[in-house]
Amino acid sequence: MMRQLLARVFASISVVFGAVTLLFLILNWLPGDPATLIAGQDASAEMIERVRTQIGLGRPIGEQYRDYIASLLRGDLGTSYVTREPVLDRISSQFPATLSLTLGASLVAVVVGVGLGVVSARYHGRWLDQLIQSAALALVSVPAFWLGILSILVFSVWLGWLPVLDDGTFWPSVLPVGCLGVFVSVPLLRLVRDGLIGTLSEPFVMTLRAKGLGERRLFFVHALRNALIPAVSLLSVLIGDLLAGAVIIETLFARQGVGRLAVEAIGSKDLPMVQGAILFASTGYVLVNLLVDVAIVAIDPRTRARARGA
Amino acid sequence: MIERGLDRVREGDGALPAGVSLEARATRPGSVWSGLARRLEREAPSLDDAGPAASADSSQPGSNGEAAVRRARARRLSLAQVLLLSSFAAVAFFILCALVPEWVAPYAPTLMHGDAVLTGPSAEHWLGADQFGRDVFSLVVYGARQSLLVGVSAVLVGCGVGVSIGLVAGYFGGWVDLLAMRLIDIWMAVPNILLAIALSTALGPSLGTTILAVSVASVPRYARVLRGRALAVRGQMFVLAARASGASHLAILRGHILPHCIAPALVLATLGVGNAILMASGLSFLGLGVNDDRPDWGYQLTQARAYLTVAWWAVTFPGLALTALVISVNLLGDALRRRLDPHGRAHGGNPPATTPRERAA
Repeated sequence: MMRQLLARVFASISVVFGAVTLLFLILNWLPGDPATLIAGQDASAEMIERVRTQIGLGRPIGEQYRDYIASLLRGDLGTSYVTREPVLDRISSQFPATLSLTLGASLVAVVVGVGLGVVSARYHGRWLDQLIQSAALALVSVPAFWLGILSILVFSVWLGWLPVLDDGTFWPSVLPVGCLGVFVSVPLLRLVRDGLIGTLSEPFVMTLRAKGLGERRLFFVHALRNALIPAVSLLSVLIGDLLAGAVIIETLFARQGVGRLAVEAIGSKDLPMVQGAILFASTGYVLVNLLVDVAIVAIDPRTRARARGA
Repeated sequence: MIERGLDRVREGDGALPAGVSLEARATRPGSVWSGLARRLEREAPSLDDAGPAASADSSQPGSNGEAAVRRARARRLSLAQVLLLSSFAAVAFFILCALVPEWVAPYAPTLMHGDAVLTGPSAEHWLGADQFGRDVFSLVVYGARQSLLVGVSAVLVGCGVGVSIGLVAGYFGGWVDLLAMRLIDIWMAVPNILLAIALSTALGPSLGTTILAVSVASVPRYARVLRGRALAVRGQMFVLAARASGASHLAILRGHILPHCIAPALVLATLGVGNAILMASGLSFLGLGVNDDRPDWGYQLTQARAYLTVAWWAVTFPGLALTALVISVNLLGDALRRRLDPHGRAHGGNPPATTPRERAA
């Protein structure tokens, strides 16, 4: 068990390291020239050269990479080309906003996803189930930003129920959190529904039914519990969707956050900032994945047994 | 969902395991299933009208319950067909728009009607006009080209690369497999849209960058699924036989492994078109897509967003077109999946334990 955990942690670290390298190669090695990007399209060759030496781009790529890794290990993500602030400071000041957005959205996703999934399975094959499934299909086919735009149109512009601009209360957060939450709830909904329907046809359910257990208790206690285990492992997929969605939603609603920071940094050609923000998000993603793996071993006795047997 | 019910009925009817679809089996002459398929085929017309006379005609000692199931089956089938047909029609319409937009659109997409700026839907401008007085309907029609172009090319590139990686990893196994899968893990650790952002930053926004960014994000999905299939097929007798008779690895991959993996790849690719279109529109929205004069739904939405309070039609219809296209493509992909990949069902009964997939697990 402990050995397995250690192996998993080691694998996660190597994946993060790989992601760092991949991003470094994409941003520093691809044909696009950062110096030209920073100096502007119509800067003189001399000026481009000056920028190049200033940010240390003239050196061989291997040397740059070594320095980059070394500073990363010291916890230094570099300095913004634009504001001259350390990238890590900017990211940590923006992180709470992103965290509260994604946490709120996960809550919404769990409530909506599990709730509707249960309803859908309970009325399996009936019109309510078909309605929910159709809505789910429509939702995965809608671009997230358009959903956001429509929700602003309906709830703010037409109905006037919810403000969009920040006024210090939590009301302006309702739409972004709700949009992101509903958006990421679809995979959860489908998994819970299919899992429940699958579980209900398993022999142990038949046994319980034969022993005279009430249909309600059977459904909500025994079947739901089994159907929720795969839902936990889905969290790792969910977190990726959440991060991607946060970039869009933060930009759309002009909220603070790491996602918007990254998008704005692209606009101002601020490479260290883009790199830092993406790295931050990827590390978070890998970390959550690791936690999910550990959590599954903790809640599902079968995986423990398998680990012992192996 | 609908078809799943149908398969249940089929299984109950003739003890068909959840295997390849009935029609596909029946194409093999003399197979165990052909007799059963012929019988079902004979019954097929009687299912359609499902009258009392028809059920009396049936070769089975049909009880009332059985007849009811058949009627339900016939009704459900038609619903599924209606959905499928409308998806086909929608996709065909968008392809028409992409190929010859001038046949469909009433105006040129760049034509500015000075007297129509920000006017709502009317007889002249069916879906209204935007902030420049451009006809929204014409813009939507012309925008189809960009979305389909990006969607299809991104899938071709991503599918090609992903399938190759997956096949090679699964077929050779060992350290090649280990290396490839680690690479895919890393690839997946950077969330899709952030990877696309990094690529767009490095290469600058252009049509090529968008296609590359979207396709790169989709590679791991193809690679993972195809690796699993290749892994399952590589130990089969016919592969060993080919190897023993001196066929090269490349020939085996192309001639024996690939044909066995083509169905899931095809399904993933179809579903991937919808995803690619969505992601490309998201990139456009973030300002990372193509932002030249070519009409593009994502960019159109971004521009119209500023006029949200005064012109709902300019933000509603391009998004609606985008959604309609993606839903249709997804429905087609779903139908294809049911047809080609019966084992992939969430709960369509357990496949026999001897399927390659089981052995790989």
